[in-house]
Amino acid sequence: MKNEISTIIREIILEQSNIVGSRVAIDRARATKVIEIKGDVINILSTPDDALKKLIKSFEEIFGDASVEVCDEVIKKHNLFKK
Amino acid sequence: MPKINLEKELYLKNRELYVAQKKSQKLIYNISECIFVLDSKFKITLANKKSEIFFGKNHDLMGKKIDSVLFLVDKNEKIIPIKNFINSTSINLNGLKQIIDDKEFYFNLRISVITTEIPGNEEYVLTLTDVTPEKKSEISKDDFITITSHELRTPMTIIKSYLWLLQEEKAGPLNAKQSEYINKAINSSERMLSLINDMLSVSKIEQGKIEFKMEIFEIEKIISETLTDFDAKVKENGSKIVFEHDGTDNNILGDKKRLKEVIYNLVGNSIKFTKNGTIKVKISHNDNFVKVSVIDDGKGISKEDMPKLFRKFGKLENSYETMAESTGTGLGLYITKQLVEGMGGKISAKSDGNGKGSEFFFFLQKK
Repeated sequence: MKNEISTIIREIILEQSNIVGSRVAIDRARATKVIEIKGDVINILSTPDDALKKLIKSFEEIFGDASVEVCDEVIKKHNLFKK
Repeated sequence: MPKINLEKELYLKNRELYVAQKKSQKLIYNISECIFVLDSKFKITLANKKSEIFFGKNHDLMGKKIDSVLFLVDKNEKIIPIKNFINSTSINLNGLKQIIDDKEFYFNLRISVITTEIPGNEEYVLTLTDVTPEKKSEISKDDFITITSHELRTPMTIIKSYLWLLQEEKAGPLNAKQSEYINKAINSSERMLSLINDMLSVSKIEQGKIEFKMEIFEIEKIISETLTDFDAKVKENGSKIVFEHDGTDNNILGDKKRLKEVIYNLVGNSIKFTKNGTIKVKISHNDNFVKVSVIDDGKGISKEDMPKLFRKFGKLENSYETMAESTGTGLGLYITKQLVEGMGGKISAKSDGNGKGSEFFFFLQKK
C-alpha cells in the first residue's frame, strides 16, 4: 500500500510539473513537510494516506480546484480510492 | 472588478495547454502511418508508435540521423538518401523497400517541409505508409503474368508457325473456306501473341526490370531506318508515310532499341486507324529538346477519350475500333509512355475529335 501511494505521489508531482514546472511542483510537495524529495527518491515521513492528502491540499491552496482534479485523475488511474 | 487569482488563472491556462498538447501528441503517436519529425540537420525529434514498430524504440530513435534509420531502396535496389530528395519533386516515392529483421517491407514516402521565419531552420515531417501487403500481392501478380506469358508464348508461336504452313499450302491445296478459316486463326494467334508480348513488357516495366542502354545518337537516322519497316503495311491500307525534318542531325540521349519500339507503336497505331491517308513523322527541335510528332488524318480521338489514352488497357470506345475489330491489346500506348519516360522524355497527344486525325508527340533531351 505504501509503495503504491508513493507511486501515486510521484505521478502527481510529475503531472503537476507538466503544468506548473518541476521547481514549483517539488516546492509544493516539500511544503507538506511529510514528503521528502532527494533526487529521484521520494520519502514519506508520515502515513501514506496523510502524505497524499497533504500533497493535494498543498496544490489546492495555491492553484485551486483545477489542481485537485489533476490529482484525482492520477488516483483514479490507479483505482485505489473512490473519489 | 473581481480580484483575479493569478496562480489559479495561470494554472487553468497551463492545464488547458498541456491537455491540448497531450491530445495532439496522442493523435500523432497513434496515427496508423509511421511519422518522423526531423530538425534542420535531419535528426529525429519525434517518432510515433507505428515508427517504433518498424524502426526501434522511441528513445533509440530520438536524435539519430534519419539516414541511419531509413535504408529505403527504389525498384532498382538503389539506396535513397533522404537528404537528396527532400527538396526534390521529381522522384517517385512510392513502393520503396526496406529490409527489417530480414523481412522485406514496402513504404510510400511523403515529405512535408515546415518552414520557420529563420532561414535554414526548417523541419521536416516524413510520413511512411506501409504498403507491404499491396506491394507483395502486386509482385505475385506480376510474377504470375511473367511466368504465364512465357509459358504461353512458346506454344502460341508453334501454333502460328503451323497455321502459316497451312496457309502457304505446304500441306496441300486449300479450298476457299479452309483458307478463310486459317486466315482467321492466324489473325487471332497474332493478336494473342502481341497481347502476351505486351503483357510481358508491362510486367517488366512495372517490376523495374526493363533496362535502358542510354547513349548519344542521331535521332533522324534511327527514325528513318525504322520507318522503312512500315513500307509494306502502309501500301496495304492505301496510306503513305511522310518523314519531315529540317536536315539537322540532332543528337539525343536515349536507348536506340526503345526509341524504335516507341516509333513502331506510334506509327503502327496511326496506320491501323488511317485508311487511304497520310501519316507524317516530323522532327523539330530547340536548344534543349527534340520533338518527334506522328501526325495522321485518320479516325482521330474524341475529347472524352483523351485522358484514357496512355492508361493500361485504355482502348477507346469513341474513336478507336472495338476489341472485336481491332488487333490492339490496349497496352501499346501505356508501354510507349513508360519507354519515353524511361529515356527521360515526355509524351502527349492531341486531336480535334472523331474523324479529324490525331497527333502523338514526344520530347527527348538533346545532347
